[in-house]
Amino acid sequence: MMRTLRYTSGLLSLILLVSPPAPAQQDSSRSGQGSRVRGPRIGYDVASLALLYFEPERMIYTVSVDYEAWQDIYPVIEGGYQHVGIEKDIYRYTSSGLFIRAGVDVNLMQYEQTNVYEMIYGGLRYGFSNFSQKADEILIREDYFGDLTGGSVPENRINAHWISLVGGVRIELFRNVFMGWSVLGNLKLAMGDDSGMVPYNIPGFGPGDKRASIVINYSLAYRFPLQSYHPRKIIKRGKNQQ
Amino acid sequence: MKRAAILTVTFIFILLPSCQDEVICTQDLVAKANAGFYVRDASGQRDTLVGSFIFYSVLRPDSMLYDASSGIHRIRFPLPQSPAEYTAFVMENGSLADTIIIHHSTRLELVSFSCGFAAVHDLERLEYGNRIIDTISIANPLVDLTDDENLKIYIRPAVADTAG
Repeated sequence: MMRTLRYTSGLLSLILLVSPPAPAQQDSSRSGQGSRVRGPRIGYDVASLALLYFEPERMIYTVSVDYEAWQDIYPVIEGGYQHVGIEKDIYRYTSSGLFIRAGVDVNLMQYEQTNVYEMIYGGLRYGFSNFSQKADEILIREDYFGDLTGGSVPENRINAHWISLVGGVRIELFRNVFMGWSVLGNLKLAMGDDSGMVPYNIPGFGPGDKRASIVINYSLAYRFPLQSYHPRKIIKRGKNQQ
Repeated sequence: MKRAAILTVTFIFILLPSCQDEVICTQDLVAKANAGFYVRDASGQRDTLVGSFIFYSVLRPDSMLYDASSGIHRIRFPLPQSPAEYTAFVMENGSLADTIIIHHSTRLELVSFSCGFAAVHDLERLEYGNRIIDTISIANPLVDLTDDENLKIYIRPAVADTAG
Protein backbone atom coordinates (compact mmCIF):
# COMPACT_ATOMS: atom_id res chain seq x y z
CA MET A 1 0.00 0.00 0.00
CA MET A 2 2.80 2.42 0.99
CA ARG A 3 4.77 1.51 -2.14
CA THR A 4 1.74 2.33 -4.32
CA LEU A 5 1.32 5.67 -2.57
CA ARG A 6 5.00 6.44 -3.03
CA TYR A 7 4.89 5.71 -6.75
CA THR A 8 1.68 7.68 -7.20
CA SER A 9 3.02 10.70 -5.38
CA GLY A 10 6.30 10.51 -7.33
CA LEU A 11 4.31 10.44 -10.56
CA LEU A 12 2.31 13.46 -9.41
CA SER A 13 5.54 15.32 -8.80
CA LEU A 14 6.77 14.58 -12.30
CA ILE A 15 3.46 15.59 -13.92
CA LEU A 16 3.52 18.82 -11.96
CA LEU A 17 7.01 19.69 -13.05
CA VAL A 18 6.69 18.96 -16.77
CA SER A 19 3.45 20.91 -17.07
CA PRO A 20 3.67 24.38 -18.64
CA PRO A 21 5.29 26.92 -16.35
CA ALA A 22 3.12 29.04 -14.09
CA PRO A 23 2.46 32.65 -15.19
CA ALA A 24 4.94 34.00 -12.61
CA GLN A 25 7.78 32.53 -14.59
CA GLN A 26 6.92 34.51 -17.71
CA ASP A 27 7.42 37.84 -15.95
CA SER A 28 8.70 40.28 -18.52
CA SER A 29 10.90 42.03 -15.97
CA ARG A 30 13.17 38.98 -15.77
CA SER A 31 16.13 38.40 -18.04
CA GLY A 32 15.22 38.49 -21.68
CA GLN A 33 14.45 35.51 -23.81
CA GLY A 34 17.52 33.38 -24.54
CA SER A 35 19.39 34.25 -21.35
CA ARG A 36 19.76 32.47 -18.03
CA VAL A 37 20.63 33.75 -14.58
CA ARG A 38 23.19 31.97 -12.52
CA GLY A 39 24.98 32.40 -9.25
CA PRO A 40 25.81 30.46 -6.10
CA ARG A 41 22.76 28.84 -4.56
CA ILE A 42 22.92 28.24 -0.84
CA GLY A 43 20.52 25.78 0.69
CA TYR A 44 19.64 24.30 4.06
CA ASP A 45 18.16 20.86 4.69
CA VAL A 46 14.95 21.37 6.65
CA ALA A 47 14.16 17.62 6.68
CA SER A 48 16.38 17.35 9.75
CA LEU A 49 13.61 19.10 11.68
CA ALA A 50 11.61 15.88 11.29
CA LEU A 51 14.23 14.17 13.44
CA LEU A 52 12.89 16.09 16.43
CA TYR A 53 9.89 13.77 16.21
CA PHE A 54 11.14 10.59 14.54
CA GLU A 55 14.63 10.34 16.01
CA PRO A 56 15.06 12.86 18.82
CA GLU A 57 18.39 11.41 19.91
CA ARG A 58 20.01 12.60 16.68
CA MET A 59 20.32 16.07 15.20
CA ILE A 60 22.02 16.98 11.93
CA TYR A 61 22.60 20.33 10.24
CA THR A 62 23.27 20.31 6.51
CA VAL A 63 24.17 23.20 4.23
CA SER A 64 24.68 22.99 0.48
CA VAL A 65 26.17 25.24 -2.15
CA ASP A 66 25.77 24.68 -5.89
CA TYR A 67 26.41 26.72 -8.98
CA GLU A 68 25.34 26.28 -12.60
CA ALA A 69 28.85 26.22 -13.98
CA TRP A 70 27.60 25.04 -17.37
CA GLN A 71 24.03 24.89 -18.62
CA ASP A 72 22.17 22.29 -16.57
CA ILE A 73 25.33 21.14 -14.84
CA TYR A 74 25.72 22.05 -11.19
CA PRO A 75 28.85 21.29 -9.21
CA VAL A 76 27.76 21.02 -5.60
CA ILE A 77 29.29 20.85 -2.13
CA GLU A 78 27.30 19.80 0.93
CA GLY A 79 28.54 19.82 4.48
CA GLY A 80 27.25 19.56 7.95
CA TYR A 81 27.49 18.57 11.57
CA GLN A 82 25.72 15.78 13.47
CA HIS A 83 25.31 15.04 17.16
CA VAL A 84 23.88 11.84 18.69
CA GLY A 85 23.04 11.42 22.34
CA ILE A 86 21.41 8.23 23.65
CA GLU A 87 20.67 7.82 27.34
CA LYS A 88 19.31 4.57 28.66
CA ASP A 89 19.34 2.82 32.03
CA ILE A 90 22.12 0.52 30.83
CA TYR A 91 24.41 2.94 28.98
CA ARG A 92 24.99 6.45 27.72
CA TYR A 93 26.26 6.93 24.17
CA THR A 94 27.43 10.12 22.47
CA SER A 95 28.74 10.76 19.00
CA SER A 96 29.47 13.94 17.07
CA GLY A 97 31.27 14.93 13.93
CA LEU A 98 31.41 16.64 10.57
CA PHE A 99 30.81 15.48 7.03
CA ILE A 100 31.27 16.78 3.50
CA ARG A 101 29.86 15.60 0.18
CA ALA A 102 31.10 16.91 -3.15
CA GLY A 103 29.88 16.14 -6.61
CA VAL A 104 27.77 17.27 -9.51
CA ASP A 105 24.08 17.37 -10.39
CA VAL A 106 22.74 17.28 -13.94
CA ASN A 107 19.31 18.57 -14.88
CA LEU A 108 17.43 15.94 -16.86
CA MET A 109 14.42 18.09 -17.62
CA GLN A 110 13.86 19.78 -20.96
CA TYR A 111 12.21 23.18 -20.95
CA GLU A 112 10.77 25.57 -23.46
CA GLN A 113 12.23 28.78 -22.07
CA THR A 114 15.84 29.28 -21.05
CA ASN A 115 14.89 31.11 -17.84
CA VAL A 116 13.13 28.08 -16.34
CA TYR A 117 15.10 26.73 -13.40
CA GLU A 118 12.99 23.86 -12.18
CA MET A 119 14.82 20.58 -12.23
CA ILE A 120 14.55 16.88 -12.14
CA TYR A 121 18.10 15.88 -11.66
CA GLY A 122 20.53 13.09 -11.12
CA GLY A 123 23.99 13.30 -9.71
CA LEU A 124 26.98 11.77 -8.01
CA ARG A 125 28.72 12.54 -4.75
CA TYR A 126 31.85 11.57 -2.89
CA GLY A 127 31.36 11.73 0.86
CA PHE A 128 33.71 11.88 3.81
CA SER A 129 33.07 12.10 7.53
CA ASN A 130 35.25 12.49 10.59
CA PHE A 131 33.50 11.88 13.88
CA SER A 132 34.03 10.56 17.39
CA GLN A 133 31.99 8.31 19.66
CA LYS A 134 32.14 7.05 23.22
CA ALA A 135 30.00 5.25 25.78
CA ASP A 136 29.91 5.38 29.56
CA GLU A 137 27.69 4.58 32.54
CA ILE A 138 27.50 1.04 31.17
CA LEU A 139 25.55 -1.41 33.32
CA ILE A 140 25.67 -5.18 32.74
CA ARG A 141 23.60 -7.38 35.04
CA GLU A 142 25.04 -10.72 36.08
CA ASP A 143 23.75 -12.91 38.91
CA TYR A 144 26.81 -14.98 39.89
CA PHE A 145 29.75 -12.56 40.08
CA GLY A 146 27.64 -9.41 40.35
CA ASP A 147 26.70 -6.52 38.10
CA LEU A 148 29.20 -4.36 36.26
CA THR A 149 28.50 -0.67 36.88
CA GLY A 150 30.21 2.43 35.52
CA GLY A 151 31.74 0.64 32.54
CA SER A 152 32.98 2.75 29.64
CA VAL A 153 34.32 2.63 26.11
CA PRO A 154 36.83 5.47 25.62
CA GLU A 155 36.33 8.06 22.92
CA ASN A 156 37.67 7.09 19.53
CA ARG A 157 37.82 9.02 16.28
CA ILE A 158 36.59 7.46 13.03
CA ASN A 159 36.89 8.35 9.34
CA ALA A 160 34.38 7.08 6.78
CA HIS A 161 34.30 7.39 2.99
CA TRP A 162 31.42 6.68 0.62
CA ILE A 163 29.97 7.43 -2.82
CA SER A 164 26.39 8.43 -3.55
CA LEU A 165 23.94 8.32 -6.41
CA VAL A 166 21.53 11.23 -6.20
CA GLY A 167 18.10 11.88 -7.64
CA GLY A 168 15.92 14.84 -6.86
CA VAL A 169 13.35 17.43 -7.75
CA ARG A 170 13.66 21.18 -7.35
CA ILE A 171 11.21 23.99 -8.09
CA GLU A 172 11.56 27.76 -8.04
CA LEU A 173 9.13 28.93 -5.43
CA PHE A 174 9.67 32.65 -5.89
CA ARG A 175 12.35 34.45 -7.84
CA ASN A 176 15.70 32.98 -6.77
CA VAL A 177 14.06 31.00 -3.94
CA PHE A 178 14.07 27.24 -4.44
CA MET A 179 12.55 24.25 -2.74
CA GLY A 180 13.16 20.60 -3.42
CA TRP A 181 13.83 17.12 -2.15
CA SER A 182 16.52 14.64 -3.04
CA VAL A 183 17.28 11.01 -2.33
CA LEU A 184 20.86 9.84 -1.94
CA GLY A 185 21.75 6.17 -2.33
CA ASN A 186 25.03 5.71 -0.47
CA LEU A 187 27.63 2.98 -0.70
CA LYS A 188 30.30 2.86 1.99
CA LEU A 189 33.84 2.49 0.70
CA ALA A 190 35.86 2.43 3.92
CA MET A 191 35.58 3.09 7.64
CA GLY A 192 38.47 2.96 10.07
CA ASP A 193 37.37 1.80 13.55
CA ASP A 194 39.05 -0.48 16.10
CA SER A 195 36.88 0.26 19.13
CA GLY A 196 34.60 -2.77 18.75
CA MET A 197 31.65 -0.38 18.85
CA VAL A 198 29.78 0.02 15.56
CA PRO A 199 28.73 3.67 15.16
CA TYR A 200 25.05 4.45 15.66
CA ASN A 201 25.03 6.79 12.69
CA ILE A 202 27.72 8.14 10.36
CA PRO A 203 27.22 11.87 9.71
CA GLY A 204 26.02 12.37 6.14
CA PHE A 205 25.88 8.65 5.38
CA GLY A 206 23.36 6.93 7.66
CA PRO A 207 23.35 3.86 9.95
CA GLY A 208 26.85 2.82 10.95
CA ASP A 209 26.22 -0.92 10.68
CA LYS A 210 25.10 -0.77 7.03
CA ARG A 211 27.23 -1.00 3.91
CA ALA A 212 24.57 0.85 1.92
CA SER A 213 22.05 3.45 3.02
CA ILE A 214 19.49 5.98 1.83
CA VAL A 215 19.44 9.61 2.93
CA ILE A 216 16.55 11.95 2.15
CA ASN A 217 16.91 15.73 2.08
CA TYR A 218 14.32 18.47 1.77
CA SER A 219 15.92 21.82 1.25
CA LEU A 220 15.19 25.48 0.91
CA ALA A 221 17.71 27.49 -1.05
CA TYR A 222 18.43 30.98 -2.25
CA ARG A 223 20.36 31.77 -5.40
CA PHE A 224 22.41 34.93 -5.58
CA PRO A 225 21.78 36.14 -9.15
CA LEU A 226 25.26 37.34 -9.95
CA GLN A 227 25.42 36.73 -13.66
CA SER A 228 23.28 36.51 -16.76
CA TYR A 229 24.48 34.47 -19.72
CA HIS A 230 23.21 33.22 -23.06
CA PRO A 231 23.16 29.43 -23.13
CA ARG A 232 24.36 27.67 -26.21
CA LYS A 233 21.36 25.37 -26.38
CA ILE A 234 17.74 26.44 -26.38
CA ILE A 235 15.19 23.65 -26.29
CA LYS A 236 11.92 24.35 -28.01
CA ARG A 237 8.81 22.27 -28.21
CA GLY A 238 7.01 21.65 -31.46
CA LYS A 239 4.40 24.15 -32.76
CA ASN A 240 1.51 21.87 -31.77
CA GLN A 241 2.56 22.05 -28.12
CA GLN A 242 2.80 25.86 -27.86
CA MET B 1 2.48 27.51 -4.35
CA LYS B 2 0.52 24.54 -5.68
CA ARG B 3 3.75 22.93 -6.84
CA ALA B 4 5.31 23.58 -3.47
CA ALA B 5 2.39 21.91 -1.74
CA ILE B 6 2.58 18.82 -3.93
CA LEU B 7 6.35 18.72 -3.49
CA THR B 8 5.95 18.74 0.28
CA VAL B 9 3.27 16.08 0.27
CA THR B 10 5.32 13.75 -1.93
CA PHE B 11 8.27 14.25 0.38
CA ILE B 12 6.22 13.18 3.37
CA PHE B 13 5.13 9.99 1.60
CA ILE B 14 8.75 9.18 0.85
CA LEU B 15 9.80 9.90 4.42
CA LEU B 16 7.12 7.84 6.16
CA PRO B 17 8.48 4.35 5.28
CA SER B 18 11.74 5.29 7.02
CA CYS B 19 9.92 5.31 10.36
CA GLN B 20 10.86 2.33 12.49
CA ASP B 21 9.45 0.96 15.71
CA GLU B 22 11.91 0.61 18.58
CA VAL B 23 13.31 -2.93 18.84
CA ILE B 24 12.86 -4.64 22.18
CA CYS B 25 15.92 -6.62 23.32
CA THR B 26 15.29 -10.24 24.28
CA GLN B 27 18.90 -11.39 24.20
CA ASP B 28 20.90 -12.71 27.14
CA LEU B 29 23.80 -10.32 27.60
CA VAL B 30 26.05 -12.44 29.81
CA ALA B 31 28.92 -14.10 27.96
CA LYS B 32 29.58 -17.64 29.22
CA ALA B 33 32.46 -20.01 28.63
CA ASN B 34 31.47 -23.37 27.18
CA ALA B 35 33.49 -26.45 28.19
CA GLY B 36 33.03 -30.04 27.07
CA PHE B 37 34.29 -33.16 28.83
CA TYR B 38 36.35 -35.70 26.92
CA VAL B 39 38.54 -38.70 27.63
CA ARG B 40 41.48 -40.07 25.70
CA ASP B 41 41.89 -43.80 25.79
CA ALA B 42 43.08 -46.62 23.57
CA SER B 43 40.21 -46.04 21.17
CA GLY B 44 41.07 -42.36 20.80
CA GLN B 45 39.20 -39.26 21.92
CA ARG B 46 35.54 -39.43 22.90
CA ASP B 47 32.92 -37.45 24.75
CA THR B 48 32.41 -38.45 28.35
CA LEU B 49 30.00 -37.80 31.16
CA VAL B 50 30.96 -36.66 34.64
CA GLY B 51 28.81 -37.67 37.59
CA SER B 52 28.37 -36.14 41.03
CA PHE B 53 29.88 -32.98 39.64
CA ILE B 54 30.37 -29.84 41.71
CA PHE B 55 31.70 -26.65 40.14
CA TYR B 56 32.06 -23.18 41.65
CA SER B 57 34.27 -20.10 41.66
CA VAL B 58 36.81 -19.51 44.41
CA LEU B 59 35.28 -16.01 44.66
CA ARG B 60 31.85 -17.56 45.38
CA PRO B 61 32.35 -20.73 47.46
CA ASP B 62 28.85 -20.21 48.83
CA SER B 63 27.19 -20.52 45.43
CA MET B 64 27.47 -23.60 43.23
CA LEU B 65 27.30 -23.27 39.47
CA TYR B 66 26.80 -27.05 39.33
CA ASP B 67 25.88 -28.87 42.53
CA ALA B 68 26.18 -32.68 42.58
CA SER B 69 24.93 -32.81 39.05
CA SER B 70 25.01 -36.17 37.25
CA GLY B 71 25.53 -37.06 33.65
CA ILE B 72 27.18 -33.75 32.77
CA HIS B 73 29.01 -33.72 29.43
CA ARG B 74 29.16 -29.95 28.94
CA ILE B 75 29.15 -26.96 31.25
CA ARG B 76 28.58 -23.23 30.81
CA PHE B 77 29.85 -20.71 33.31
CA PRO B 78 30.30 -16.92 33.46
CA LEU B 79 33.50 -14.98 34.05
CA PRO B 80 33.57 -11.74 36.07
CA GLN B 81 32.23 -8.75 34.13
CA SER B 82 34.81 -6.36 35.57
CA PRO B 83 38.41 -6.52 34.32
CA ALA B 84 40.38 -9.29 36.03
CA GLU B 85 43.66 -10.96 35.14
CA TYR B 86 42.49 -14.43 36.13
CA THR B 87 39.56 -16.29 37.70
CA ALA B 88 39.82 -19.54 39.68
CA PHE B 89 37.23 -22.30 39.76
CA VAL B 90 37.01 -25.54 41.74
CA MET B 91 35.83 -28.77 40.17
CA GLU B 92 34.91 -31.66 42.48
CA ASN B 93 34.02 -35.21 41.62
CA GLY B 94 33.35 -37.37 44.61
CA SER B 95 36.34 -37.08 46.93
CA LEU B 96 38.58 -35.62 44.24
CA ALA B 97 38.96 -31.91 43.49
CA ASP B 98 40.97 -29.76 41.06
CA THR B 99 41.41 -26.01 40.82
CA ILE B 100 41.27 -24.41 37.37
CA ILE B 101 42.83 -20.95 36.99
CA ILE B 102 41.76 -19.19 33.81
CA HIS B 103 43.93 -16.25 32.75
CA HIS B 104 41.86 -13.91 30.59
CA SER B 105 41.28 -10.30 29.53
CA THR B 106 37.89 -8.61 29.45
CA ARG B 107 36.49 -5.90 27.22
CA LEU B 108 33.12 -4.32 26.55
CA GLU B 109 31.41 -4.82 23.21
CA LEU B 110 28.24 -3.22 21.92
CA VAL B 111 25.66 -5.92 21.18
CA SER B 112 23.13 -3.50 19.72
CA PHE B 113 21.77 -0.08 20.61
CA SER B 114 18.54 -1.67 21.79
CA CYS B 115 20.27 -4.32 23.96
CA GLY B 116 23.34 -2.48 25.18
CA PHE B 117 26.77 -3.87 26.00
CA ALA B 118 28.20 -7.25 26.96
CA ALA B 119 31.54 -8.09 28.54
CA VAL B 120 33.46 -10.53 26.34
CA HIS B 121 36.61 -12.36 27.39
CA ASP B 122 39.77 -13.48 25.63
CA LEU B 123 41.23 -16.65 27.19
CA GLU B 124 45.01 -16.50 27.39
CA ARG B 125 46.28 -19.50 29.35
CA LEU B 126 45.24 -22.07 31.94
CA GLU B 127 46.59 -23.63 35.10
CA TYR B 128 44.93 -26.70 36.61
CA GLY B 129 45.32 -29.67 38.93
CA ASN B 130 45.62 -33.27 37.80
CA ARG B 131 43.50 -35.35 40.16
CA ILE B 132 40.44 -35.30 37.92
CA ILE B 133 41.77 -33.46 34.90
CA ASP B 134 44.18 -35.02 32.42
CA THR B 135 44.60 -31.87 30.31
CA ILE B 136 42.64 -28.83 29.12
CA SER B 137 42.95 -27.24 25.68
CA ILE B 138 41.60 -23.89 24.52
CA ALA B 139 39.37 -24.62 21.52
CA ASN B 140 38.18 -21.04 21.02
CA PRO B 141 39.76 -18.23 23.07
CA LEU B 142 36.84 -15.80 22.57
CA VAL B 143 34.14 -16.11 25.21
CA ASP B 144 31.13 -14.21 23.87
CA LEU B 145 27.39 -14.61 23.56
CA THR B 146 27.58 -17.60 21.21
CA ASP B 147 27.50 -21.30 22.10
CA ASP B 148 30.91 -22.05 20.60
CA GLU B 149 32.98 -24.45 22.68
CA ASN B 150 35.85 -22.64 24.39
CA LEU B 151 37.52 -25.40 26.45
CA LYS B 152 38.04 -29.14 26.00
CA ILE B 153 38.51 -30.71 29.44
CA TYR B 154 40.06 -34.16 29.19
CA ILE B 155 39.22 -36.25 32.24
CA ARG B 156 41.67 -38.85 33.53
CA PRO B 157 40.52 -42.21 32.16
CA ALA B 158 40.36 -43.78 35.59
CA VAL B 159 38.09 -41.03 36.82
CA ALA B 160 36.02 -41.03 33.65
CA ASP B 161 35.33 -44.75 33.88
CA THR B 162 33.94 -44.42 37.38
CA ALA B 163 32.13 -41.13 36.90
CA GLY B 164 29.53 -41.83 34.32
